Amino acid sequence: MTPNLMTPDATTPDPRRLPWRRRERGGHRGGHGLPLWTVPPALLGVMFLVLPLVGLLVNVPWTAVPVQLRAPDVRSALYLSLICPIGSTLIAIVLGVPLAWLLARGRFPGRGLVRGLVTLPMILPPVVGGVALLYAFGRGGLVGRWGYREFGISLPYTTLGVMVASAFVSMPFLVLAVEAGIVQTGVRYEEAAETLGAGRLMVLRRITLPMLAPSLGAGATLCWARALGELGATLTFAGNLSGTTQTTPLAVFIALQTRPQDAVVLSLVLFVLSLGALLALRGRRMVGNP
Amino acid sequence: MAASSGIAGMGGHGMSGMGGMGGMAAASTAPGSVLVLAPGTLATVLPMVDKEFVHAHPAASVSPSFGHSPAQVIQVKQGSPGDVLLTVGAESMAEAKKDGLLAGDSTVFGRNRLEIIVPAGNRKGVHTLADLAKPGLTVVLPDESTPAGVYADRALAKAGVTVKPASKELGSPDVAQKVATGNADAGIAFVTDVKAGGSKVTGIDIPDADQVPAEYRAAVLKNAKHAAAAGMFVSFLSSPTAQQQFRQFGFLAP
Repeated sequence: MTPNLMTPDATTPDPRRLPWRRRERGGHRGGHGLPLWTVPPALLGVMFLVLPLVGLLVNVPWTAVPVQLRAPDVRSALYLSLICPIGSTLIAIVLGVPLAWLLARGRFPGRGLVRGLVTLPMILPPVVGGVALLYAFGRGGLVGRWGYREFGISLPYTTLGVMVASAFVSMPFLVLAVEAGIVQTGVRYEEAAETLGAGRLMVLRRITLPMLAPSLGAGATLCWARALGELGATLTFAGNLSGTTQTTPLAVFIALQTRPQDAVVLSLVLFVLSLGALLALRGRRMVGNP
Repeated sequence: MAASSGIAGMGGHGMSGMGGMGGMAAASTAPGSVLVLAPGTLATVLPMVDKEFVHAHPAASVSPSFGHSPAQVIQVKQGSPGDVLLTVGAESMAEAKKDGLLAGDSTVFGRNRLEIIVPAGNRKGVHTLADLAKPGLTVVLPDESTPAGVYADRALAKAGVTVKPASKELGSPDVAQKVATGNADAGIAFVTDVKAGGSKVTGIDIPDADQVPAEYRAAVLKNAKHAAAAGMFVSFLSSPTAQQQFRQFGFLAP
């Protein structure tokens, strides 16, 4: 019974008891435990991350925004960017939550290897992911060949193909978040409930799932946000056709080739959506760690 | 736009450093390093041509940067560095000329033509542009934001054919790749990309009446850091040595 050791509270000593923290307490300069030398590079860091967004915002042709948002191509791209990330997140939940469970609680040889393999799409260049998907689920792919021959199923060039491609790159975010959540909560409450006579279903419904909710919420939001921004794997695997597979990032990429101003407007939309996801994530965290 | 010109900018700084060293090594000819902005359809042949150029001018070096011609013209307009601009299609070069980005006139150094590309064996029996409109056929076309797409749209319009593509790929090489991997039944691509597809694909001729061959043009950019070397490179493209390389990859004579 060691799940407590996995939580940060058990392994890290309380920072408030550390001597260097206590020494700083009187000063209040720059806040608790904040060495002053960190301030200039930290501010540079903020500028580095925020300036490009400012650059985007100052280049938005604000008066043209309403007109451009009504263009049919733009509207279909926005619609696809609404439904595809949700579809990807659903795929990721259905497959990813059981997988996270297996990784968190399962005791089998090669568990680390499995975890490494399923998180690989996070760092794999998405274009490589797209090519790999073609060779697996494309019409001539390992599995896709059979599906096409027997059932006439072909994922490339379909909206479902977009969801599959972005689920491939975004699911690891959900798996890792949920796995961490399962490890952190441990099994003590479930065991306590069982001791008190709760049945398996009762434990799942009243203990396990509610405790999983915050990490599932955070994981799903991360997964959705990653799927929203997906470009490389989608373009390579699902192709590019307005109304079917051209999501907003693809529309931005294509517009950049010839109509940079249109690209800026679409980028603004993605910017606002990503910001929304971040705010949603922050809200969930506060629910998770009161 | 900011991101891509930023990357091009970094490449440019690295390049100028190398150019300086090249100049020191052979001060008499001092060609330096040439940053060549080139369309993606030249990605396979250009390294070979560059090698021949460096062989003929040992003090020089060539750094190609591949992208879509319209995008590259926009990038140069926004201040991205470059010594030589190579474009496919006369429009992008005309645009660059109109914006005053060129040091002089452009020259045609090669041509390319479109073909219908199908998986080897052509089991779906595609023979003409009109066949691409057949129902049940998965067709991929190059997107109209790419030169190949502009030419393909023109060919289809000339032939009076309306195709519902499954996807508009980002260029002729992507079309060839989708057909070669069996994910499309047919497409329209440049003959050079059909050739690059090897034994996995078959090209079907599109008659001259239905298409205008795409010109490849070269020009020295006005803001070239190594203008002399850039001029040498542009003339080298028309030399028999370079032309032989182009021919091997399926390009047509200028």
